[in-house]
Amino acid sequence: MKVSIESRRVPVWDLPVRAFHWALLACVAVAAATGFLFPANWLSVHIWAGAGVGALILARLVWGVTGTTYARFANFTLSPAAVIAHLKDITAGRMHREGGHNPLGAWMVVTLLAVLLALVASGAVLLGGLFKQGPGKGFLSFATGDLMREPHELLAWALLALVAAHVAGMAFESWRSGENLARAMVTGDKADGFVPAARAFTARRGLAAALVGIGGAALMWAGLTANALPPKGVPQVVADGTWQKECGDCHMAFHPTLLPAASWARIMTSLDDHFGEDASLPADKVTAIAAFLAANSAETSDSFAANRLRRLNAERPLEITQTPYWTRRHGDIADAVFKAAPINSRQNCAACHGDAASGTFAPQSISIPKETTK
Amino acid sequence: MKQNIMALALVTACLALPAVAVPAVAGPRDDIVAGFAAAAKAADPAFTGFDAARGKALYESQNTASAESPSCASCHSASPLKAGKTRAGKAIDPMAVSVTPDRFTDLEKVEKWFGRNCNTVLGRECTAIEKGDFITYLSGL
Ligand code: HEC
Ligand code: HEC
Ligand code: HEC
Repeated sequence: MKVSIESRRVPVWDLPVRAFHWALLACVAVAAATGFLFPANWLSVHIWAGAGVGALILARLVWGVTGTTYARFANFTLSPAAVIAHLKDITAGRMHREGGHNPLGAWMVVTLLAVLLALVASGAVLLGGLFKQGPGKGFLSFATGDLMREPHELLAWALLALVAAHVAGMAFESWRSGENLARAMVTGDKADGFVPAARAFTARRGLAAALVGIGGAALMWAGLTANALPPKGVPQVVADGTWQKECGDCHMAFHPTLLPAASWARIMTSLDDHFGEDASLPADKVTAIAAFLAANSAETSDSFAANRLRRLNAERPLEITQTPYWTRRHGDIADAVFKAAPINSRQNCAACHGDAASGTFAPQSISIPKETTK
Repeated sequence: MKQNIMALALVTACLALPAVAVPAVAGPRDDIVAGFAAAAKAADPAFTGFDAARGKALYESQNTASAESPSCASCHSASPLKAGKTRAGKAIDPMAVSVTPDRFTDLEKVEKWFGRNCNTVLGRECTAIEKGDFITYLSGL
């Protein structure tokens, strides 16, 4: 039987390239869904998806200098001349079928990898500075983390646009060339008859494995070491027994980092009229509690909650639940939810924030309990 | 034989436990009530004794000093046998001594809360008679 040249399939994308492509797609999809759509307490999944993206890209960078012919960055046609020639081909309706990426496709891959790396890096800075989690927690301030908030978001939107363009370009080229490019990324082969890559390479698997293994182990060690550092600017608060008991009688003892020293001072000098109730205490206890609150007020902490809640409602400067940030973040929660058991009130932070007692308020620890009926 | 002695020891211990535990709790409460009685007598020589009915009336009275907390029952629940709830939603153990045996056994705590809650609900201090009536009512439920 005679096999026509066009129906003969030639391997192009090696297994690591294909595995990388689809694993990356999975990680990006999870990261995008959890970042754009899901509630804050999905942060852990978002972080692991992001870490997966970072690890995959680093491995791909290694394979780009050690892999087979079409995996190599050396065969990416990125020169302006090549791009212009490719654009002329398109406008003139000429087909110049490539084994690897055409120049626009190569640029797309490079841009996607760069944007994804920037997303991972800015995400790590956000996580370290804002939430004092991950490898940056020991040396990034809240302010540094906060600087990355908008870039991270802009990059995420840019990524969505790039992915859309990538899929559109792939569909367009598939239509133009008659070669289903998405299928080629699954099977790894293309119909023969394309222009082969400029240089042929054989894979250096041993070198790739060594680089990924040693580099991965080194990164893992560095990450875990950094992750074990104490959070920068967030000293551990040693709870004062008198405060814990006396300020925890009617509501949870609000962590001292949740209000500035001036607010605490006013609360402690007006306990006989404490939000409409007499909460007065003997003078020695007042002195001890006031000293503890002043020594551990919001000013002493760079934690997420301390920074966010620091800006007060000028009219009601003694209430955490009246700060602009608090009302904004809890605005979607119906009054009835707060009032129902087992929450019972807005002041019962610990009912929904598993880490409220420590003053951390990490997104991962948020969970609104189901209503109980008795 | 050995087992019998063990069983006997266990039964004795079980029988002895309430005998030891009850006075340990009731003692301080009696002292506190006696203290209020002495103060009541000093303030009004005609004082003859505390009255659970007056204590019940105080517990259930509706007052105007505070819109949020018009009554002791606002926080302590309409029935002293049931758990109450602070304005901020924290649970308060039932006030009845029969349900919460260590009620009114720590003078400092008793005075702290009479001081606060009478002022919040009534807008004034409670008298020694009111305090004694209140405890007498809640001890007899
Ligand atoms: C006698 C009961 C009682 C005691 C004791 C008490 N509080 Fe309060 N506290 C309240 C009530 C009631 C509110 C108002 C709740 C509301 O707005 O519904 C409140 C509110 C607060 C708020 C504002 C919460 C918000 O909504 O943001 C702070 C802060 C606070 N208390 C601090 C303290 C401190 C510090 C102590 C200890 C010295 C203390 N409280 C002891 C009853 C008490
Ligand atoms: C009914 C449950 C509930 C109660 C009670 C509650 N919160 Fe929250 N809180 C939430 C939810 C849900 C979110 C996340 C909202 C979102 O996704 O925008 C949140 C978000 C926050 C955040 C931002 C956290 C982050 O990691 O992004 C802070 C800080 C916070 N709450 C503080 C408090 C404090 C302080 C109190 C008590 C005075 C409190 N909350 C009481 C449910 C609650
Ligand atoms: C705003 C809520 C609130 C109101 C209203 C209130 N209480 Fe209380 N009361 C409390 C809390 C909270 C405690 C301490 C919690 C506990 O002992 O379980 C307490 C404890 C007490 C105690 C101490 C009990 C003990 O075991 O020693 C006494 C006495 C007391 N209240 C009397 C009163 C009286 C009398 C009134 C009405 C005039 C009143 N309370 C109204 C909240 C309230």
